[in-house]
Amino acid sequence: MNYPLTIDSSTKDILLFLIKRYINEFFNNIYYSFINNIYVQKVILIWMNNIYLLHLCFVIVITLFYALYMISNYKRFNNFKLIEYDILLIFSFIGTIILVNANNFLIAFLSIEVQSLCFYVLSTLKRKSTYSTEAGLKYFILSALSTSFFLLGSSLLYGLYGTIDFKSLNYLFQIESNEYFSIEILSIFFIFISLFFKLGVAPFHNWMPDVYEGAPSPTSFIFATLGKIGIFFLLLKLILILPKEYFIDIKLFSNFLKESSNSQGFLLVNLQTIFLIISFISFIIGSLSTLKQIKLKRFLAYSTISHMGFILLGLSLFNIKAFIASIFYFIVYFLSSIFLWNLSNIYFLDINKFKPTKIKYLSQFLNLKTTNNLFSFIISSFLFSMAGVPPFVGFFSKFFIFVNAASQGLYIYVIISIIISVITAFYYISLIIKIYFNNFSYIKVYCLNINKLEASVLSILWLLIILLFFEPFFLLDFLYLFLFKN
Amino acid sequence: MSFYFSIYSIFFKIYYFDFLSVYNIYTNILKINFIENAFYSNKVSIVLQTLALISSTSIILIPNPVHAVFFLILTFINIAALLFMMQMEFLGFVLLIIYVGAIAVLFLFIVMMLNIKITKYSFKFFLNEIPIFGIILILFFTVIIASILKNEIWDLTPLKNKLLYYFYYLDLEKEDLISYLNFYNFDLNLVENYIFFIKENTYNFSLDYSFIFNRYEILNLYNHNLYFNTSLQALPNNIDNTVALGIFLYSKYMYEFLLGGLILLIAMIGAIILTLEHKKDLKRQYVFHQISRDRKNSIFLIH
Repeated sequence: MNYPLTIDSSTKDILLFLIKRYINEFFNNIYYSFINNIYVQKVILIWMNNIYLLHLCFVIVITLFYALYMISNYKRFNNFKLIEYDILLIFSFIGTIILVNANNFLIAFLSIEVQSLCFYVLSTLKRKSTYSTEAGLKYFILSALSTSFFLLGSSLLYGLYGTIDFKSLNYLFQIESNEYFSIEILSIFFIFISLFFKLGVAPFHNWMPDVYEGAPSPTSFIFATLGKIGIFFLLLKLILILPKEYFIDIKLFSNFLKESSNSQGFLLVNLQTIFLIISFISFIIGSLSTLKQIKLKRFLAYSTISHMGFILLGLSLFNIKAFIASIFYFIVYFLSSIFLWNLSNIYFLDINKFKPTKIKYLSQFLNLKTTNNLFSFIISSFLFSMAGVPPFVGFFSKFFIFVNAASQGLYIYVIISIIISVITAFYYISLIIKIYFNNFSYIKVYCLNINKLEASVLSILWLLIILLFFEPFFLLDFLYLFLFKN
Repeated sequence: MSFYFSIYSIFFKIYYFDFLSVYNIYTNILKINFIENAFYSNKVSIVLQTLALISSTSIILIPNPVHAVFFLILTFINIAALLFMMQMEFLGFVLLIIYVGAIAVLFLFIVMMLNIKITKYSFKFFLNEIPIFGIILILFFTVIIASILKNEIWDLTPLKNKLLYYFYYLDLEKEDLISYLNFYNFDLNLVENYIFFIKENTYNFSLDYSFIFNRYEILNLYNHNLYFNTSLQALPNNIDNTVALGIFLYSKYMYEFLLGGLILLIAMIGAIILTLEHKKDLKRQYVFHQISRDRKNSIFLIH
């Protein structure tokens, strides 16, 4: 499109325009390879404000539809008739979509509030159980506190620079002057802490297992998948705004040693060190606390902490390949969490109790090969991918992050984190042992009934896991375009 | 000031983070209002400030909880009055409506419902808290006292002056320039690159300031669209706080306004869902059953 246009048209012309542009971008003769290094100028933005966000919204829509099916199943087997369950879910969907497309701190804050208010209520709808009330209270109080941190940081940045726009702040952070304010880094730190609260990263993780356990199982599915997308991409945007010096060489950027400057304070620690410390703590806590777990939902919630640690490791290295590796890891986590949180939503008839039940305890996985042979095979494949075993994508998702960390020079950190990730592999494989190998003959009287819709969705996810192992660069090159196109 | 901080840090071997910037930011925002409204010299303002300090400290020290809530209300009213004097009347009204009208009333309801005992305040309990209290006092008041003694008002002009140079060159606003300079292949001298499409407003309302927000769309040969917002020179000087908020909230930030409305709706829905319990003895209409009547369901034989 190398000629001017008048934008005085109807919706049909606009749609055609968008479709043509969308198609043209795939046929451009530019190929961003994963192997070659790419040099980025200081003034050009790496900015995810392009048409590939539609893919993301499409993915969110699909998960929403599946969640609605899950909720209808829940309502059928439990005496639960509220229609507001679906309505609040759709409002949260609106919040996530706006958050993914946000370019302001104001819209980001408002969309976070829309999303999280819906989640507070969705976690407490089971009024008769104490677990859900506990979950709602904890989630409400702690995430409200975290949004206050977000507001504080954004207001301080406005006080310094006069804008809330991300693009303009990227330009303004790069200005070199005699005065340096350490308050701007502190405000950014406040914002990051608020986002870490919501992602469930290690020092701020105490609410997560209680909430994920107490909430009804469709909402815990939503917390693990939809609740993290928007916040992850917002975090990515905020990290892309910052110049490299804020992450790595903060002391050189702040002219503390110059006597002529009016430098009012400075920070000791770079943001990179903070990210690395937080990821290390999350590795340790996420891995050690899952070993003692007996219930499925708490098990999965504690395991997400370690996954978020991997993602923060990828984000701490201010490198394009590392960002892409972290997004790749997040996508793999997303796909596998759709399956694993769906396990807690499958209903079967238990003859001992003679009512529909769910998989609540890990001991219910014992000897599952006898009744559901194929389903146990797929469960084992997903668990192998989360552990990092080669025929599945989980291997490459962790591999890329460790490679980028080692290329930056964090050799000891990588070695220690690999040793700790063995523990994560252990508790995923212990489940497989329970399914397939057991010394005592535990007689199983029930079989998991899986509908055609569920089977189709889960089989597609399984295929993705295997195909992305053999062709991950398909997705990585797409992510290059996602980040680079303005 | 840097000399002071360097000595402080070298002596104690800690890296001191600047609380002063926080103070100076907020004073910089209120600087204009201070100077024009004689905030320091006016007797009423001094009285209100002292009353605010006294009432805020008495909330903690008074044994009777109901009296403490009354002093809370008094602080809010004092601060609202100060905001009125600083030409920020909207914030004052908001404080009165929300803090006094809702939050303090909530406090009172809770205090009245619960049987809180009136305890006598003893100095022994305070002794355990002095170390922490002392640290906070020292950190806070050194900053303020140092700034007052030096008579420094911190300006953010160095950052702004660099951008103003570009502003005078092109007669644009900051956000315009930033979106403008992000594209490096853009030749300022070529006329071809400037292609303006102006959207005209055809209606004429007297208090309509929407002409401020005309959008000039520029399509470049190399890159995608750029958006320019016109400057705010057309606004008059003597506008009230509420009028300015109205101009921007209902025209430029309409989307955010509607999102705020959506948040309130979700809060209402949540509050009703979590607390409503229908009585089972009452007869009520079930509209779904009424509407889902078919010809088959309506007629049946009685044996």
